[in-house]
This record gives sequence, C-alpha cells and structure tokens, in this order.
Amino acid sequence: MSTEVNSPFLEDTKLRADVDRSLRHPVMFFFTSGAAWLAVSLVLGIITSIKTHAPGFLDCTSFFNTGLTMQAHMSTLIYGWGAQAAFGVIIWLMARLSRQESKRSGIILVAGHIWNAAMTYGVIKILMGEGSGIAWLYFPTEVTAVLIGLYFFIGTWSVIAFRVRRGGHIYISQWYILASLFWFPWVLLTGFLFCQIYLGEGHPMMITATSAWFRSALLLLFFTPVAIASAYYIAPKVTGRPVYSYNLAIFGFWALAIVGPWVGMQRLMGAPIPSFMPYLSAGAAILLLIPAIAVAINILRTAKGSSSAMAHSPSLRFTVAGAVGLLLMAGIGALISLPSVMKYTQFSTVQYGYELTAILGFFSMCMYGAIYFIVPRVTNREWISVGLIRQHFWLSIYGVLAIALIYTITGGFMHGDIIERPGEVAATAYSRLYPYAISLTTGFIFLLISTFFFCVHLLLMWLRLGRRSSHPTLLVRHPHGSPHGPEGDLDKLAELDSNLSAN
Amino acid sequence: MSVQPIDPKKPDLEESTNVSLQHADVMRSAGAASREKQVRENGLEPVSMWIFITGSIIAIIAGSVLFKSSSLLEYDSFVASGYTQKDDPGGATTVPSAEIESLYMSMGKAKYTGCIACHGADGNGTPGAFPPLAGAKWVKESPIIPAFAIIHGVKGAIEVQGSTYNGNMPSQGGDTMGDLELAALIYYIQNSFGNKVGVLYTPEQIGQIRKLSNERSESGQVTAAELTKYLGKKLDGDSFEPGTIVNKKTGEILEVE
Repeated sequence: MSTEVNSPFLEDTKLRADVDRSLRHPVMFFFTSGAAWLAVSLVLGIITSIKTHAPGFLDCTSFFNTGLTMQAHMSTLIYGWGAQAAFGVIIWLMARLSRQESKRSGIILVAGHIWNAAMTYGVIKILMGEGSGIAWLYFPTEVTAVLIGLYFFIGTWSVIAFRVRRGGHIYISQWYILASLFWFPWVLLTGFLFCQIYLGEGHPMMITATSAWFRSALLLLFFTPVAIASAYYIAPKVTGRPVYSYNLAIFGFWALAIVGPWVGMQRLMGAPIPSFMPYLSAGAAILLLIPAIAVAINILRTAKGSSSAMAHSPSLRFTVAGAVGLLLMAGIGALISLPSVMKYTQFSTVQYGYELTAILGFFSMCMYGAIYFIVPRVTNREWISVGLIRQHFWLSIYGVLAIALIYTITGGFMHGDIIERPGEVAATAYSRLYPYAISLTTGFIFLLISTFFFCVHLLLMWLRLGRRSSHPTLLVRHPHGSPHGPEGDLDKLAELDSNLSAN
Repeated sequence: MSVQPIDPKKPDLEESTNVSLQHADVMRSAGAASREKQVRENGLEPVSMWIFITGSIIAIIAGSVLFKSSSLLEYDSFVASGYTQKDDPGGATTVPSAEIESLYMSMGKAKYTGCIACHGADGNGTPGAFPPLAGAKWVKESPIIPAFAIIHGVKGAIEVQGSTYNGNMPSQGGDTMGDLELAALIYYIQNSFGNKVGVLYTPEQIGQIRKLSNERSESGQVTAAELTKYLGKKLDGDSFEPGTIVNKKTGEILEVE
C-alpha cells in the first residue's frame, strides 16, 4: 500500500480505515462473545419462564431452580451481552469520532477475555447457589470486584482518545459516550460498595433502596446513553442528513443527565424508607418521558424521508426500531410510576417485563444497528447473508412485541389486578398469568433463534469469511442476479490497479 | 466522489500523486469506510410546538406526583398517607383456625422450649437436681398445680416419683402468658412424656385458676405443702370437646366436628 496520500478525502478515508483496523479484534471479540452470552441468557430465561407455566420442568437438579436460573439469566443479559456490546460500540465510536487509532487494543482484548472468564465463574457460582442474591449484582463479591477493575482497562483508553481528539467540534454521540464512560463506574461502584461491601453499617433498608436505585441507574445512565449515542451516529450516517435538530439533541442529553439519577426508588413505594424518596423517583420516572421523546423524535425525523435507506439498510432499520423501543421503555416506565396505577403493578410481573423491554426492545435494537454498521468496517468484509439479517430483524421484532405488549402490559396488569383483590389466593393470580407466561416463553424462543444465527453470522465475519465486495449487504430482493445486489467494481479496480502499476 | 473534503486547508491534488492509483488502493482496502457519508452535525430544524406542549403536560403530571409526598426532604417521615390495601368489601373474612388438640400440642411444645433446660426434652428432669414431669402425680392429678408452678415458681422440698428434690424454681412468667397459651402448655405437659390426662382446658377454665391464684394467702413461690391441697382437684365448667375447631388467636369456638 502507498504511504503517501495527498487528497484530503482519501487521507480521511485512510485514517478512518486505519482506526477501524486498529480495533478489529477487541470490537469483534466484544460483539461475538456478547451475542453468545445473549444466547445463554435467553436459554436461562426460557428455563425460568417455562417453570412458571410448567413447574416440573428440569426439576431433577437444584442447578435449575427458578431463583437461580433467574439470577443467572439477568446477570448474563446485563454483564454478558449488555456491557460487552456497549463496550464494543463505545471504543469504536469514540475512536472514530475522535479520529484516533487505538493503541491499546491488546490490553482491551486481554481485559475482555478476563471479563468473560470471571463471568463464567460467576454464573457457575450463581447456579450453585453461591451468588450474592442482590438484584442485578447477583455475582459473588469477588467477581463484581474483578469486573469493576477490568472496566478501567477497557474504558480508560476511550477517555484518552477523547482528550487527544482531532477536530474541534464535539459531536452529540461523544457527549453521551463520555458521560456513560464516567457514569458506569460511578453506578457500579455505588451499587457494589453499598449492597455488597458495607452491609453491616447504616440502616438495613439502605441496601434495598440502593439496590432499587442501582438497577434503574445502570439502565438509564449506562445502557441508555450508549444506545442513544449509537442511534445519533447511525441515523445521520446512513441517511446522509444532519441530525434533525441539534439543539433538541443537546437538550435531550441534559434532560437525561439531570432527571436520570433520581429515578429508581418508586418501586419501593410504601416501604419503610423516608416517604418522599419513592415520590421523588416516581416524579422523575415520569419526567424521563421528556428526554425520551426529544431523542426519539430527533432520530425518527432524521430518518424520515429516506424511505429507501430505511427499507434497505439493516443498521437504520434496527436503529429506528430502537428509537421506538426508547419511547416504549419510557412510556411503560412512566405509566407504572403513577401512584394510582402502581397498586396494580408494584408487585406484578410488570417490573421484570419493563427491564426486558428496556434491554431487549431499546438497548439491544440500537446495538444491533451499530453492529451491522461497524462489523463490515472493522473486518473489511461485507455481511454474508441478507436472509440471516432479515430473520434477525423480524424475529427480534416479534419477540420484543410478545414480551413488551403481551407479557409486560397485558399480563402484568392482569396479574396485578388479582394480587390487589383481597381474599384471592395466590394460585388464582398464577392461573391468570398462565397464558402470558407462555407468551414470554414464545418471545424468548423467537429471540433465541434470531440470536443464534446472529452469533454464527458474527463469528463467520470475525473469521473474515465475509463477502469481498465494494457494495454493502442491503435488504433488497436481488434485482441484479446476486442475492446482495450489484457486487461493485472491485474487479474493475483491481484491473485498473494492475494496468497502472504495469505502466 | 462528490464528498466534501474534511480538511479544506490542503490542496486537492498534487502533481506528483497518481490519484487513480491511490483511489483504487483505498477503495480496495477500505471499501466500507470510503463509501460512508459524512456526519454533518448542524441540523437546525425548528422544533415542533407539539413537543413543547407534550413536555409541559408531562412535567405537570410529574409535578403532581412529586408533591403527593407532603414531606419533601424530610428523612424522619416513613409512612406515606393512604398507602394501605383496602379492606375486603363484605367478603368472607378468613379467620386463622385450627383443630384444638393439634393447636394445643404445637403451641404447648413451642412454649415448653423454655422448660427443656431443667425438665428435659423427654420430661425426665435432671436426677438429683430437677424433678421429672413424666408420670408425676403433681402434673397428672390437677391442672392447678402445674399452672401455679408456672405462675409463681416452686421452692422447698418436694417429693416426686419417690425422690425428694430441694430446688428453687423461679416464676416462669405465667402471669403475662395468655390464657390460651397457658392452657396449651398445661395440655402439652399433661399429655406428653407418657402422661395421658386428655382434658382440653378452655381459656375460661384457666381463668378459674387465675382467680384461685389471686386469692392465695401466701406470697411468693408455692411450696409442696400448699400444692398438696390441690391434688385431685378438678375445674368447673366444660372443657373443649376433642375435634373442636377454634380461632387460633383467641380460642373462640368456630365449629364442633
């Protein structure tokens, strides 16, 4: 390859390609192992869900007790898939937007391997019944400590890349990513210290209150900003249009930063903690609709009008689905925080369904959009199969709809209605929940099928078995004799190259 | 390529560079990166009025929820008003109920844990120190004697099963114990360790014992001499029929099987 490139456009393209290449292995490692953990999490979720409508399922061993599989299911979903997908997107987006090659890919890769090893150990411990039992911090203390330590070996380089960025303007995605880089250790350390370390000190209800805050904060101050950063990058990048309103984008950021940390304790309404705390959190959870609407409108208006990009680009399709998921998440979150509604939802399955909707319907959709964009760049190969992408999209949509609309909203209120009736026995509530538990299992099975093929697709791409083409893999129905559309001018370019070299 | 250069300071081309060659090179090694569109960040479309209106409505709802809590930032107020589940409207209130014999046995056994240290789990006592309850006439012949022992304690020499014990049993809190609990404890020791008296005393009958206890001429712990006069003494009134279903909390009769 030539070393001297003088055209500014070519120079920038080369720089971007160099950034991509420098991050190939850590990014592909995070995405692929994240997708594998997502599949594991869905299998554990299916086992847990089946046990609610068929209690005798897999009762041969204590490893698969509902309480244990539920903990392992949530842990793998959060730390296996969620955190790793987010890390991949964070390091790539920050390097790209700051125009800085990664110089510490080796360290990130090693930290990623230890992260997975620690998680495997933690999941086995949970299934043996030796987890901590604290919501979303189910791993034994030593595993959580290792994960927090590893984060600094993964995230620090992105902060440095931002400090030494090229170009003066800071794009909105960088705002969100930089914030999440600081919020993640803050939230995780707070949860870890107050729910797993300083247990004997202070009021015992403080653990419950901190745990409730921790769950919400991890969702709203880590997963949400990363997903929004990716959406703000993908939508303009694919459509070629600027962000609809940049002022609205800045407003959305500050609204999330100000409102987000107050949410979480509304689920402890009526618990013996100072009684203003749940009300404060409930108010904040409703206010959260404002940044959610600002972001979602901005993304949807940016994508609107490029109907061909919407129809053809998997990245944009998933991102738009993620923006709708953001509205769904904030809408359910606000609804179940209204004190008049809360009596039906506080102790029902709505709470779990809300978490699933947020992670699978909003965060994961945005991550898929980013992954479909990033992987061809870091591997310099195009996605192999349009069919695999298409099944991934539609099965994800069906799965999320089954979980969000049928299980969470309808099922949750049916369940909560029976719980609220005095004199009804618990068995009635469970028989009422039965069809919705089946819809949860069905949704999980849809997602598991799509995730399995997605994971295989990613693995093949990492092995660089993707297509060599100058045309992207788009969701078109082969008008040019190839399942992917026109294959481009690679051969022509090679010919030109050899002709020129010969001269 | 009609894309705007990133850095317009530099000249577009230089004579010395073979542009076609460079272009082909980049296209081949960075196909995806080279076809990307530039991100332009200065979108300044006007924000729809509806977003402001929706936002204001949301803020009003959120504020109304926030100020439902009358005690903002007050760390000593723990109870939110109106946060209790409504009563069952005219429904059949279920009362915790149990069959009297099993209730007395389980309740009495739980109470007896306070006696195990001296009288033993098997009721045989500690030879030479604490008398046995198993087979003792003091236990079997009248409910008044064990009740007095529990209420007041016992002191002085007492002959049990052919051995004489000279111990000092302090009061076991029989005064503060509920009538139902005391009845259960007496039933338990009269019907365990091989004892078989079989009478299910009612809380009202325990009331008779309390009356006797208040009319005592002596004070402090009871002695064997005082207890002797109660040997063989029965209580007035009907005791529970076996199989009676009672309220677990009050001992009120709910039905007789």
